[in-house]
Amino acid sequence: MGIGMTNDPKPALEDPEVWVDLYGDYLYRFALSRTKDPTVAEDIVQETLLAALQARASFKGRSTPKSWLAGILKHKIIDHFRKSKRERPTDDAILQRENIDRLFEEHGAWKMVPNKWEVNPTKLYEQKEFMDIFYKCLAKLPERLGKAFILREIDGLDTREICKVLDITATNSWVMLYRARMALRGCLEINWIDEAASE
Amino acid sequence: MFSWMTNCQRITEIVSEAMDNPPPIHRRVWIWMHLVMCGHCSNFRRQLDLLRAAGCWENGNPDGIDTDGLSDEVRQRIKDAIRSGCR
Repeated sequence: MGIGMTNDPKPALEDPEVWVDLYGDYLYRFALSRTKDPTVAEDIVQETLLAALQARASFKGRSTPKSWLAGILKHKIIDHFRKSKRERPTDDAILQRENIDRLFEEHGAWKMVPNKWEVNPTKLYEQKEFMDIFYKCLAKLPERLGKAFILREIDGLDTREICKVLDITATNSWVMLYRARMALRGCLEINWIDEAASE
Repeated sequence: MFSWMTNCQRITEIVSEAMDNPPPIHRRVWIWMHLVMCGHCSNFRRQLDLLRAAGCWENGNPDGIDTDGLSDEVRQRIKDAIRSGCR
């Protein structure tokens, strides 16, 4: 029944308590798969639904309630990793251009060449380690870069909407997204490739 | 021939921007030509595609995780919290 009702956002949004029955298990499994801690996952589900309650008016029906709630959940999972001592955001130095310049020779050729990631984008569900590290790396990004990436790739906002939320120019948003992607792929190259190689 | 066409660092910037701001057709052809010739930038491009796929990935039963879902007790606790939040 739950899945069927997700096609019509209105009835599901009228009674927030129904969210728990319709989407609670889905959100819990998602949170548990990332945090590995049942208590933390339960708390994240509760925080997600309370945040959704506050933001209910802003739900525009562009996605299903399930996707909308999953989007809020992902923000909460990243917040959780950010709060964790071990996953403190990387120093803002990563924002510096030198961190990207270091990857290249002076004339622009690759110095630290990108690895070929053996992951099929359509089979991410088989790539537990990749998704774990993806979320942890995302949490390590400097706050503004992380926010720009999340708005673009998790929330699916376009440039105009991102500029409005972050109060920046379009060019600035593309530079931030470039730096976020570079930092994220760099983090995955170090943490995921090493992990995959050690298996 | 533009100098950026042979500059991998510049290509990474252009490839990333193209994901947010689709370039005109001639620039897309130039990007494509560079990617065909350059395996490293081609790997980079695939990495960015994967980051995008990971961002929007959803699954009803993530990682096939083995759990029954929320317990009745937790379910009720969350409903109570929502009820207090509604007031």
